[in-house]
Amino acid sequence: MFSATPLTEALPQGQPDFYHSPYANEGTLDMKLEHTSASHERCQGVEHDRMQTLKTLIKDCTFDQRRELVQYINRLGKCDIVGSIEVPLAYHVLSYLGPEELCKATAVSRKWRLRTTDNQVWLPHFRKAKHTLPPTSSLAVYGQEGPDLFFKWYGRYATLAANWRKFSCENFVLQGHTGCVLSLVIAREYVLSGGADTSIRVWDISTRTAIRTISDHKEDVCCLAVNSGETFFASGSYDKSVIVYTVPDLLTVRRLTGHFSAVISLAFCGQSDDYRQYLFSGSIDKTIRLWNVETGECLRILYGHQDNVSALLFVSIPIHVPTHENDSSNSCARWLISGSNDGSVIAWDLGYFPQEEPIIHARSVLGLRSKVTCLTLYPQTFSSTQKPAVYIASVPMDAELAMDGDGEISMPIRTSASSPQQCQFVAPTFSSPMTAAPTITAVSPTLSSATQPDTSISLLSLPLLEPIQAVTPMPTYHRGVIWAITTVTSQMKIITASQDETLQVWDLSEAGNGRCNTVVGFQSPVVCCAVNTGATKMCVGTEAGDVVVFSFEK
Amino acid sequence: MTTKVTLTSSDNENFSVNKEITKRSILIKNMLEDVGKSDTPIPLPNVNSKVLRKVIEWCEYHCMDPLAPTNENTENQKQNTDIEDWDQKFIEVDQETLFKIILATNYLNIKPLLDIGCKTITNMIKGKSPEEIYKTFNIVNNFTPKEEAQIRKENKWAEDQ
Repeated sequence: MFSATPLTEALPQGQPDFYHSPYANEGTLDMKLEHTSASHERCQGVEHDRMQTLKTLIKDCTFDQRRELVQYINRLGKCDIVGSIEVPLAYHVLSYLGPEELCKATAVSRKWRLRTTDNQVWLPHFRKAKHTLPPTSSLAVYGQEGPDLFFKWYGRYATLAANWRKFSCENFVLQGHTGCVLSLVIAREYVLSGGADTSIRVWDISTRTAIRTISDHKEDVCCLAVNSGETFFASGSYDKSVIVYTVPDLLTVRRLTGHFSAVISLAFCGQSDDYRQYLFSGSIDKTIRLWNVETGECLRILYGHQDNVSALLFVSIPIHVPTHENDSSNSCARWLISGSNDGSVIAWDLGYFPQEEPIIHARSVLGLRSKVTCLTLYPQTFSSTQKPAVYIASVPMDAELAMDGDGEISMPIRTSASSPQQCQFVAPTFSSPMTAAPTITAVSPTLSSATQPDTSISLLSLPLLEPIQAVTPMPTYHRGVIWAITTVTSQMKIITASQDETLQVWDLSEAGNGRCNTVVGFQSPVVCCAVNTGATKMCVGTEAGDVVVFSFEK
Repeated sequence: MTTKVTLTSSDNENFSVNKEITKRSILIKNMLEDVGKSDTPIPLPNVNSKVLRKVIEWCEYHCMDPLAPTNENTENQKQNTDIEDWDQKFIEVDQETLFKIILATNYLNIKPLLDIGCKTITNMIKGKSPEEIYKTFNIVNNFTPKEEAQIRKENKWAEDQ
């Protein structure tokens, strides 16, 4: 076999030779090379002689000819295997490449791009990463979205995950509320915020402007909820009523009245189409009511708490592994988890709800001995060994809770600093002014007496509400009440918003191992927090009346 | 015991090979089963003598290997592109021959050798920038500068990892 190495060695490196050879002419050179490479290599002597002849020939070449020769040799025997091989074989070759390598290969040539971005190549990576296509690009539009659908979405998800990991995002402030922003939800392209100024403001994320101000409530709007299909949203207020609106038209469906006191928590029944119209509301009157928002009927009143029902959470846990994505009707256990200022958490078994006569009974009751401020569910679908868990933020019983900012919050200071969790402590460095980008700073773990967790997060398993960790309260590094807690399941994050003017982003992935990063710069207590369905946007409401939107898309 | 089978390459060269060895190729194995006992040479019109010699060399070396299970590679094996030492040396050929070996093994249906060939190409791609890839395979980058900029932007996530 003809080898390129001896030839290149024979070339005097970097020494231009101006001697013109009598044979020097591209055509003859090519012919000679073809001839030599084609002949059979058996006899060592002949081989050696031929090598000598070649070397002599090259010695006589001009610099330009030699350069051309080097290029010729470099091209010799090379072929675009991936581009010219049959398509199934090319896919076989590409199946050995990881997503990052594959992505780099898409920039080689048009032919390579066609092959390396094909759905057949990307679908295994897409599935392995447990990504799902957003509902807007269902299989019905599979063909229209092109043969590189999975590649494109894989890239989008990877970018999003990297941005969450580094907390690389752009943010902007929506101003308009004249009082504390008490609640927030994201429904489709809208951010809805309810404030102590009795208004609900509707903001368009893309244009960053307020498009509507809804002033139907007479008092503070304490809570907002959106249903799973994002077709309804509901608001609960100190004026004891709940109002339901349609999305995106923002038309009033109806006003639900019946509570004897302020409505401070709401939860829609989620996931399946059949249950979207059912809404739970929790009130200072210590009860929970179940409503059918389409008829306006109050179906049930749940008694059990001894104080304000401050947090509600609808949970649906698959009992069997569902065979279809939509097959959730019989394979889910449904629960309503409610938390109260009396320190109790109740799991209400919703059974085969809803029936004509809904059967709802409290299955498990847990006494926390601290006031519950908020609840969230972390499904932990990424780990098969762990059960779904409910995260509950609470404050000690002797703490005075006031959400609208005119009350003083007095926190008892604990002196013992026991921190079983490996977390990173970040000293809050408040930047000014408010419009400056809230920053995330990672500092080496220096857990010492500097951290005095005066609030805690409890971690409970479902459905029995057993404490997951032996040490019931998980310390947080917030220095004030945790007002809101949100799960970002796809990014394996939990976000806590606190009175101490910070957000904390907890990384629950195996790599993250519970590491916590702090977002500072709000200059006012952070009261509420919401993340949209695709985890591309997060918004935060502050006591000063600002709504800060973080966008993780680039 | 040692029955021989004759294989004829596209350039009409005959190779007399131990029957057991030829069974490494699912194509030939099936052919032999279909034909039964026959002395007629098996024509392989898609494989030339040079490549066939290489393929037989591989089959002879690996004749003691247990026949590979035909089931699909699991996900974990997929990402593994390690090649055994002997195979690594065996597959050190120029790209054209490699290309032909892959085509031939695909045709002859010798999955382990096909995998080695494919892994070799994969290893030539791995860890390389697009520029290095088109130098390696002598590919002409036919994107317009505008397209290239767009692709670079879209592919940024792969470099951050």
